[in-house]
Amino acid sequence: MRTEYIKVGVGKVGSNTVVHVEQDTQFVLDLGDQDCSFSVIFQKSGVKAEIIGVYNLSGGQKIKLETFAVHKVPHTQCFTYIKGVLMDNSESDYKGKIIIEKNAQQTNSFLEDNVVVIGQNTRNISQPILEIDADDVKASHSATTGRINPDEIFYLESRGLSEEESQNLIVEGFFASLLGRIEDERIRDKVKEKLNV
Amino acid sequence: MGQFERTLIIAEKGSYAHYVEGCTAPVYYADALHSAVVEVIVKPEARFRYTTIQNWSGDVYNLVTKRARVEENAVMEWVDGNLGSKLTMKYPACFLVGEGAHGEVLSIAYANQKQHQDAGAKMVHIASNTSSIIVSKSISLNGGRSSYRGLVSVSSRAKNVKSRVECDALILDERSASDTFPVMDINESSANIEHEATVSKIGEEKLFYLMSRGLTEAEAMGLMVSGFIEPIVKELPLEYAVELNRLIELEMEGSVG
Repeated sequence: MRTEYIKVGVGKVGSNTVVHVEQDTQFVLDLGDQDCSFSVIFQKSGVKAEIIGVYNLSGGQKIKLETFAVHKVPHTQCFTYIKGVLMDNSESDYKGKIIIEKNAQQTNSFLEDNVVVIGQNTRNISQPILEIDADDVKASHSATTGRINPDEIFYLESRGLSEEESQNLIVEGFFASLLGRIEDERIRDKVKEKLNV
Repeated sequence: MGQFERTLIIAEKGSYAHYVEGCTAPVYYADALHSAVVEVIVKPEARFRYTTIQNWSGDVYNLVTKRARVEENAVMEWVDGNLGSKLTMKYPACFLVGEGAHGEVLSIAYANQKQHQDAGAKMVHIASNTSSIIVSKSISLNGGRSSYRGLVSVSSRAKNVKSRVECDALILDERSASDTFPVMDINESSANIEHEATVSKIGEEKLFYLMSRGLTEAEAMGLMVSGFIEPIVKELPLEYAVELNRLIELEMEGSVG
């Protein structure tokens, strides 16, 4: 699968980036700090796409993101993975839509949104949406928001790490599972660098 | 025709009650409206369950408001079965205002020909250590549409909130549709929120297996649908569980094959 690093919503408020999937592609989102929207439209049968977005927000940062997976023809696949970490006073607002139109039988579409809250005074809005007009499809989504399990921190502390080190290690692991999906090494490194964990 | 009713129920401290209602209506010449407001106040340590099985005729607009105020360590459960009506818009709500309060919504929606079941739930976490569970199952067939519309909100003062939402949808044929519109608005950092939804059709292999055991296609479908909603049906009083299963059998008759 081809990997593309796509800049969304930098500089412009409410900018919408739309792509039509022509061949199997991984879209890795380079998220801006303002409203951004990214749409993947399937008009060619037999193609597969992945949308990967990660963010790590610290003091006072905000992110507003929308993704759309629009299936118009049969036999397409889309997997959307969004992962984020919220530190003190940060805010994330994510809406992820899967739209499967009437003709788009044998679609397989999945969306996952995981948020780990580390700081205080955070706000998180999550709206995973499904609109399905075809019957022979598999569509699902899951969304979670939660803190790091204190048992995990305790375990790492018992092995000699400080609280901060333990936290960083867990956050690194949280992102690593998704970064590992990115097939292009150069892009993976860029995303890692930007995440700054 | 219009029907407007108002229900207020107060469950006193430490009490337990289960209120069960069944709604049916004959067919009128013109569209009919059913607009009800149900409010429940669950005092500290009380537990209240409100069960509705609605089988309105196909010309009824069923627009209902249901909400509950849940105080300290109290439990409120809405069990909701939507089978009839032309359009249902109903989102039972729990306002968890007392510490340790718990809210639950179990809902089944069955959208047949020319029906739109727009059901869901709202959980508003205002106090700390509150928890909620939403389980929603929907079935669409013969061109019916079912939607789940839900809200889980956590106020900035509510610490250690836990919430879990699970919605599963079955689409039985290509003319039918299903939507899921959940909103999670979390204004506190210690909340633990999970949401999961799936939409699928009945597996061909499962159907084939049941038919190879001698069931007709309709019987096999019926069995799978009963199994799909079983987690909610088992919470109903026996008579209602039987009635609900029979209703679904009746509705499914002639719809397959």
